[in-house]
Amino acid sequence: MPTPSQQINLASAIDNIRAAENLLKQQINAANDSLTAIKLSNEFNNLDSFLSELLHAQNSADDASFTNATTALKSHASGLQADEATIKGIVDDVNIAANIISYITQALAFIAKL
Amino acid sequence: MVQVLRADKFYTRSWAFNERSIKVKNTLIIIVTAFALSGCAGLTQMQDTVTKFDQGAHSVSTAQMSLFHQVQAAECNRNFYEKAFDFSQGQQIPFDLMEPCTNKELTDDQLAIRQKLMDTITLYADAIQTLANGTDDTNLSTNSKSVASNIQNLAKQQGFTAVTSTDTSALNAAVVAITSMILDHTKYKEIKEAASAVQQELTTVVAELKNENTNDIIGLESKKTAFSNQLKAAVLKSRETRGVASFLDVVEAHNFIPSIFPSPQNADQLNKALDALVAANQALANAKNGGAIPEISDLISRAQQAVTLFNSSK
Repeated sequence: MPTPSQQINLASAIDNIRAAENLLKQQINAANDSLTAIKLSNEFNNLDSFLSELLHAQNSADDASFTNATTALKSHASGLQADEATIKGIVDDVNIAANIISYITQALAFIAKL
Repeated sequence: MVQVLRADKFYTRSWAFNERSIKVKNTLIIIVTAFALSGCAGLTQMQDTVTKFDQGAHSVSTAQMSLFHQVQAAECNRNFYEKAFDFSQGQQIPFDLMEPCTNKELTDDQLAIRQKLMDTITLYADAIQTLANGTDDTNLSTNSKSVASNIQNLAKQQGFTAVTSTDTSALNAAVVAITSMILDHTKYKEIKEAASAVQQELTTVVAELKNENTNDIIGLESKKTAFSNQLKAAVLKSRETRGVASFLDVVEAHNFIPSIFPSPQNADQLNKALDALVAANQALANAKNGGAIPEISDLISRAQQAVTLFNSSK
């Protein structure tokens, strides 16, 4: 079961991933060609899978399942770093891309504290 | 003669005394009967009120369990359509149209624990009901006692987890207190005494259920967004290849989304029904002769509305 400080780190990581998702969603809504929308949707799904793992960790009812959940989160962190680079290549607006990446970077920092 | 006169007086006085005595007795009988009848009327009204409270609690429980199952179903749908989206892009992945689903966000074990939290409330309502029924039916069934006892043991081991971990111990303490009342409810002489004894704990349990509902809805909204992203990509492709005929795909996509993700308004209605449950119990705690009717009616109305909403969105 997560300790109070781990709960705070998890909640902060969740908030940051959700903020990144919101920006990606805006980009998908604005997309006018299917290829861009598909690429952005795939990135959104990667973030959402990670979000599911965060929620799973948050809901852990015992220490063993929490340990398993955080181990899985940390092992998938490198995948999230790869997504940062991909998003930079898809999103045309440099500022929005930087904001999305900033949110993901912050989420990774909170996960590293778990 | 004197003796006769005295005897007459004696009989006359004696008769007068008897007449007065009968009148007093009759008056007493009328008063006692009137009190008894008024007591019966009050008890009947209270029984009726408490029966409705019990029904309302069970309806809220039904709606709550529907939401939990819809949350699980939404996760399964999301996982399936995510793979289906990858498949539609030509990715070489294993793709089974009948793949069984394993929930991770709300596992079956977690669902069972939430069910126990809801059972705590319905068993409490049942216990209040048996109290209202009086001497004919003061005891819960053996099965109900066994369920309450199991729930209590789980709470004593801190088996219930709050959304915010700092609330976990208070939640478990509340469940222990309510189940203690359920198992030992016959010690309470009046409904209002029993209702008052658990009001604070009931508020704690309901607050936790509402937190979970709010959290679940946030999760569902996230899944809905991810799904709508994929539909957006699909209708864009459809537009590129089919032109204006893609409008039909847009219509279909728009209608499909609410069929697999429950609306947040359903959970809002459920949370209002949970609030009404707490208010109804508070009214029972303060009630005299069943005078909790407005709150109980509100509970019944909101609970039925929540059940209807969840049934219509299945």
